[in-house]
Amino acid sequence: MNSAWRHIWTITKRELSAYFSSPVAYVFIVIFLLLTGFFTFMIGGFFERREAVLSSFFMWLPWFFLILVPAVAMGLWAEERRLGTIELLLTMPITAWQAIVGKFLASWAFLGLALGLTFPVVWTVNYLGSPDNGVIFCGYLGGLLMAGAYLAVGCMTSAITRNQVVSFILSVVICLFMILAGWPPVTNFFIGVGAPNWLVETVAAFSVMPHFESLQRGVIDSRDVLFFFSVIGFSLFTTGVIIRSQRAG
Amino acid sequence: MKNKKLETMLFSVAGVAAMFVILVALNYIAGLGKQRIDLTKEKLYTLSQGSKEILGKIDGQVEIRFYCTRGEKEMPMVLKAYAQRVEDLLAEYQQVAGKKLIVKKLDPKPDSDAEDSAVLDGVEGQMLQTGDKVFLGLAIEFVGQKVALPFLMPDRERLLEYDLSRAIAGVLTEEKPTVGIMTSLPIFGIPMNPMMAQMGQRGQDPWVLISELKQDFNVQQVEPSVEQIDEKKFKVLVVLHPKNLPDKTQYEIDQYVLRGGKLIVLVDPNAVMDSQGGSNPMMGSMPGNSSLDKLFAAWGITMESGKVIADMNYPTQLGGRGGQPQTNPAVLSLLEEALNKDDVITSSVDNLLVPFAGAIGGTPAMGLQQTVLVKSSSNSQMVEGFIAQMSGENIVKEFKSGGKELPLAVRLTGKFKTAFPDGKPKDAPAEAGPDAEKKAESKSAESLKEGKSDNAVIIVADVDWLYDQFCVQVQNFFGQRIVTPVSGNLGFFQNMVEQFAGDSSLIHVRSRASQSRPFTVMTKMEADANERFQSKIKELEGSLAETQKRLSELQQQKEKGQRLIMSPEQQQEIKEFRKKESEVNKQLKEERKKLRKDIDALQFKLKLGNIAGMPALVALFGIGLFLIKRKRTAAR
Repeated sequence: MNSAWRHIWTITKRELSAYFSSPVAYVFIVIFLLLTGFFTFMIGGFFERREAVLSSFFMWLPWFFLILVPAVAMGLWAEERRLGTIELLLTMPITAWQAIVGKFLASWAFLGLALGLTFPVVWTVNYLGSPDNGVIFCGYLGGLLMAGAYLAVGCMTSAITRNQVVSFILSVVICLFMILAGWPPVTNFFIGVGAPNWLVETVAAFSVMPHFESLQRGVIDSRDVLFFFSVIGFSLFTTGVIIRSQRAG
Repeated sequence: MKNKKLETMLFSVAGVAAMFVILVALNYIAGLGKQRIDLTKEKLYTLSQGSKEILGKIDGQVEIRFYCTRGEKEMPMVLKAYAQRVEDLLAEYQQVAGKKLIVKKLDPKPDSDAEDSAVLDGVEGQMLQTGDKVFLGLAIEFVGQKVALPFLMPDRERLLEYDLSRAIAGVLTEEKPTVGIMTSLPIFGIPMNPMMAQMGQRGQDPWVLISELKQDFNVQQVEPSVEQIDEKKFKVLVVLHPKNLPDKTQYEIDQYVLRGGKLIVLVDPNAVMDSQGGSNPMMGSMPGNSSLDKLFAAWGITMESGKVIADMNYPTQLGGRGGQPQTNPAVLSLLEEALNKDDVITSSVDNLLVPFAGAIGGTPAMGLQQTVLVKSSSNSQMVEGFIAQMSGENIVKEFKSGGKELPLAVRLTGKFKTAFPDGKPKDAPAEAGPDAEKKAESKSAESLKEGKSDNAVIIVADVDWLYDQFCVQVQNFFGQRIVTPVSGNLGFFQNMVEQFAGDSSLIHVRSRASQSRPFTVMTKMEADANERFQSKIKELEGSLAETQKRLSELQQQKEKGQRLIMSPEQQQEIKEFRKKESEVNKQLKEERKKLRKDIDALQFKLKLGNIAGMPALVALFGIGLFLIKRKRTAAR
């Protein structure tokens, strides 16, 4: 078990350092920060609300992640497959699972860093008023978990194809579904066309939005956390199955 | 080969499907026994101890029918969001109560069974301006007892949990405890009589305090002429503004306390409500001043008549002459620091509005302990009540801090001793005679000299704070009377009564404020600017008054024939005033511009720092790292 974690850690370190040795990571972080800053302050009406809350920041996160997370994830496996390095990776003395978890953790840590670098906005609300920092912490936790869920989906689509663009588009579509499934306009549409209640509720249960919003209130609910970890677990498991089937084939 | 591939594929797909089913099942199971950590500062999403206690008392099954219009079109966004929060809270109740509480959600569409049920339950639909009728109310039922909350107003959100818990407690208790009120003020209202109607006068509604108390208690008026106050009947006795109470009545109150009855006394050295004509001629005395002199003396309590507390730390802005706000430090806007946070009565109250309150002094008699519930800050002094009532300006001008915190509400606990060691005070001579004397003697033998066991009495040195104006705002919402608290006054009073009435669970529920969190920096900038505007406006007012004075002086100097035409001096004076006026206006405009500019500059700086600051740092870091690396490679 210890050696398994050591292997995972090795992969994580290698992937993380690979991120920062290319300009892509910096470009990604800069764009992410610019977008969050611009949308929070210029479009989200941060000052107009005149309240020390970060709702104008968190409301955009699901949408930024929808584009940016698949962009981070698209190369994870597709690139390895295109270059043929996947074979090399899997012949190393590590299992496919260790490689999958290692790569996932590295990307997740990278996204976590990008999210963490938005801390000036937390400082700003604390300077302007006295916000509820517990609520802010929960919002960040929700953001991180959502990024993890999107990322795992991205891992899965990246394993399916060797084309990064295909992986990106597939991932965006699945993540968009995960946002829209529980979005009131969509659920109301289903109710409107006469869909039975259980169907609407089942579809809505796959949505990230109610879980993210629940965390944003300042409450860590075991159901919300479990939901995100379930999506991550399921997607990574499927990634493993896909990689395994490819190798078997 | 083909078979193997198919097998692998099948195995994989089956594996994925199995994993999916397992995870869905796991999520479902986890949903049944959810755990949560509430990280909000005020624990907004956690039921308070009092609610849990009340739910713990359920012995059977309580049903809550929650009526809420679900239509996308009909329900306004604000109400919809609020309905969601109500549902969240109901889910919390259900989580704590388990099977003892059932929540049924109903959507009363027009002509539906749910609509009929709502009408039967007393839940009313509200007609919106759009012509749509929406429902957002609930009914709570427990073995035949039913309480309805006809419409949940978003304005009362901070009291939502309290309203719900109170309603649940309401259906659980079979009989409400009785509260007796002895008062010299018309708090029960004045019914309109034909004489008054002829004179064009109206009756008076009871104070909101009474209608609020009646929701939880059986409220009865106790006349000062009462023969005996039964502590078994009256769980709590409230003596409000006792003016020159006869010794006999004070004796009855004394004995009630010694027998274990709970007493709340509200006295006032300067009652505004009283001086406004609310006095009871039966108990007439010096207007505005009340006391329970005999009992206070026995308890070691004093209160200086006519003197009120002025506190520069808790002043109130009142609308003065000409709509100009005026500061009055004798009308106390007490904040949390003034309230005893360790006591159940005051711990959940966050502010009080107390006009012209007295200070409680003295040293409690042997055997009694005093707990201060509400006090002034040390930046306070005692001032004459009538001066304070006339204007706050003089107090501000001549303020000299006494450097002492002055208690204005206390609780005495311990073994009370009688204020009438000689027994029942003798009645008026009418009852004289050998028989009456005998009767009196036998009664005095019955009278208690000391309390049987420890008891408690609360004393508050003001009565005005319970008048509607200082407690609530009453609105008319689609024909329904909606009462919204403007201060913690009513909550404070209800807490006192509830603590004494036995069930103190509700004390722990009341007013979990979801605080608004304004940008204090900007509010301060605006307040500073406002101060500058005020001084400019005062300057202008001063010069206007001076000009008017000069003009009238010049008018008097004019010769008779000149009445209609202005003298050159007058014209000059007006011209100068106009000049001054335009100058001040210009300055005001400049100040406004400066404020706008300051706020804009602050916003710009923060925007720039947030939008560009961190990305620039990251970019610089990346570029720096790239340059270092290139240099290293080049060196090789």
